[in-house]
Amino acid sequence: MPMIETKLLECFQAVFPSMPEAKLRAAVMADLAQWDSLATITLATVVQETFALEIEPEDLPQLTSFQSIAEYLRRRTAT
Amino acid sequence: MRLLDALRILRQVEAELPPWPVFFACGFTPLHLETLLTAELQQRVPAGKIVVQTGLYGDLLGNLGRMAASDSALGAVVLEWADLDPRLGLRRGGYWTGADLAGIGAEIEAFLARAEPPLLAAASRFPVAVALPSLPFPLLAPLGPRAVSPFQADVELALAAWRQRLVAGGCWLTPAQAAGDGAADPAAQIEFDFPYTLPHAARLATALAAALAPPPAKKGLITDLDHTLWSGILGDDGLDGVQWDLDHRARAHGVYQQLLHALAQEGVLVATASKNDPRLVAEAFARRSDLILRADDIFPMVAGWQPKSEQIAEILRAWNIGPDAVVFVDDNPFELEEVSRAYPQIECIRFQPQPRALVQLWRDLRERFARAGVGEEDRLRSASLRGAERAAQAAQGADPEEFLRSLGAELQFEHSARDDERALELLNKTNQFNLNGLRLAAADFRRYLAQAGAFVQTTGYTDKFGPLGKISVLLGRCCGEVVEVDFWAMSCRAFARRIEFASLRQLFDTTGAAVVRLGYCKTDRNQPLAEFLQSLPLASEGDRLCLSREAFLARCPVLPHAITAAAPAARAVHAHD
Repeated sequence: MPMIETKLLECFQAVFPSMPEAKLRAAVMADLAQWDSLATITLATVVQETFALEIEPEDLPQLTSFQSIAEYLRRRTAT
Repeated sequence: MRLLDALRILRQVEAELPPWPVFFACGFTPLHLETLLTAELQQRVPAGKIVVQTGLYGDLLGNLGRMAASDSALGAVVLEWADLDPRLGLRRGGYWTGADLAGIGAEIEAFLARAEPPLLAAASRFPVAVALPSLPFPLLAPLGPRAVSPFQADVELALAAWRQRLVAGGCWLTPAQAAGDGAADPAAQIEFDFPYTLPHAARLATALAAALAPPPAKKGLITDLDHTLWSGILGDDGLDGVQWDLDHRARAHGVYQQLLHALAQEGVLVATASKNDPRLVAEAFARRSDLILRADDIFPMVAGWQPKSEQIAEILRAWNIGPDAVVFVDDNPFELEEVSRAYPQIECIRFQPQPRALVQLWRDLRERFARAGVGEEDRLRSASLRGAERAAQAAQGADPEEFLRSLGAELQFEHSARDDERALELLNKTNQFNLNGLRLAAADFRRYLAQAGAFVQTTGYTDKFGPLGKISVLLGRCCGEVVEVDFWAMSCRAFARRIEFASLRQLFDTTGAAVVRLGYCKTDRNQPLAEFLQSLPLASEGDRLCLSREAFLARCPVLPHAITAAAPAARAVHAHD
């Protein structure tokens, strides 16, 4: 698994500790009861901490699934 | 601590651990601060599962009352400016003008007056740590940022007086965290009502956890001499050639001596381990009257040409404490490595005279030896060890019974249901003569004593070699003719004086019990207690060891102690039988 997905998976595992890995990689906010507003804030903070970047508030609405966050991080970290 | 690491720590906590309830009160969304604080406390309290209760969001005063009424083991409170008056915050600021400053000041005083009683009530029942505002002071006054306004000065004065009352009332105030741009997260404050950056929240969590659950204080410090306690090499530079003052550009060594002197006065055991001629070292301490660390502060003073690890072995035997309770300071990395290999549990710190390193060393040593207060037993510790050594030397070759009679020993027993700080300290710090190794938090100690029939029996000791202070504590419950002994600990300085026998004799006499049942449990370190129990005619009953009064008296040796301050129900005088 590419490095971004690996590190992102660690973030998801920290915020959703009881979910298996396969479900995390397919996680979508609308389908996950545990993914509430508190989880959104915690996940965003953990991602910022792990990837050493700041997520702009206007970007938050698009970060609603594992895959969309991974894609966002690929764009932000591309040189 | 990173938030990711905090979440991992909390994920790994075993669900079966006993709950350790903590009340966390703040006026904003607890969010990451709650997570970080929980993880920090969990690391410090691995035997329990930290369970944090936060009360109602936005109701700080109500939450302080809930905390005071709760069954918590610990309390943590974080205040921000907006809690004192909403107009001081970004999210709930509302409308204000310069004319409102006096009213805001009055509102702040009113808030502090309302918050104080529940805080002090909670602090009287369990440890409570309070973090005062750490965000930059809101610039409401027209003076702006260039200087402190009269308004700000008044607010800070009110807060300082309040802080003083909280400290006097038993609250732990965390050290001021540096305010400034690094602390505040305005976006998070407006969006989520969480005012801090993650690094600042982590600093606050660490400070609160350190105040609430500090590690056990170290007991002994072993110091090198050459290039550590003083600048220079005693053997080469001579008695007058070693220095520790400004004139000789050796002030760092003087500062270090001052700290060690203070620690020694506070009851920390201080010893030297030096590769030097021992006669020269003794002469230095005798002749250099300008030494800040005195010979009286040091026991034992070890010097010679053997490896430092062997010197330290000698010191540990004299002190009779474990290496995990010791710090070793030396300027020489070789010596530090040699000692560290022989004693991995000893904390080895390098002495460096550069000012920045000196300040860090001061902070490190103060942290390792930190304690809430200094009691009489602390001040007696070093002197009592010297006395014990003299006693041991006097006992060599002497008839044991005659020797014990010659001590002129006096025991002071106290039997009550009042909590006793020294008693709790003994229970929680003693390993070797400890009935079961169980520890008690202050709140649990008070709850124990609140039970019907519960009591604490303490023993103080003095003989011709000096006082040892309070050296034994026993917690039990009277149940008719039976006394259940749930905790018993005795300082190792009190060994070989039959104080353990006298304590049991006093227990039988004070309570009138026919049987004492001991809640013994083997630990890695309570072999001395186990050996004592083997000398008694005990019977097993479930998980308890039972001792009848008749069987005890038949086996009890002659007790040569005079009882000078018996418990209220005891006989007034009880010389040896």
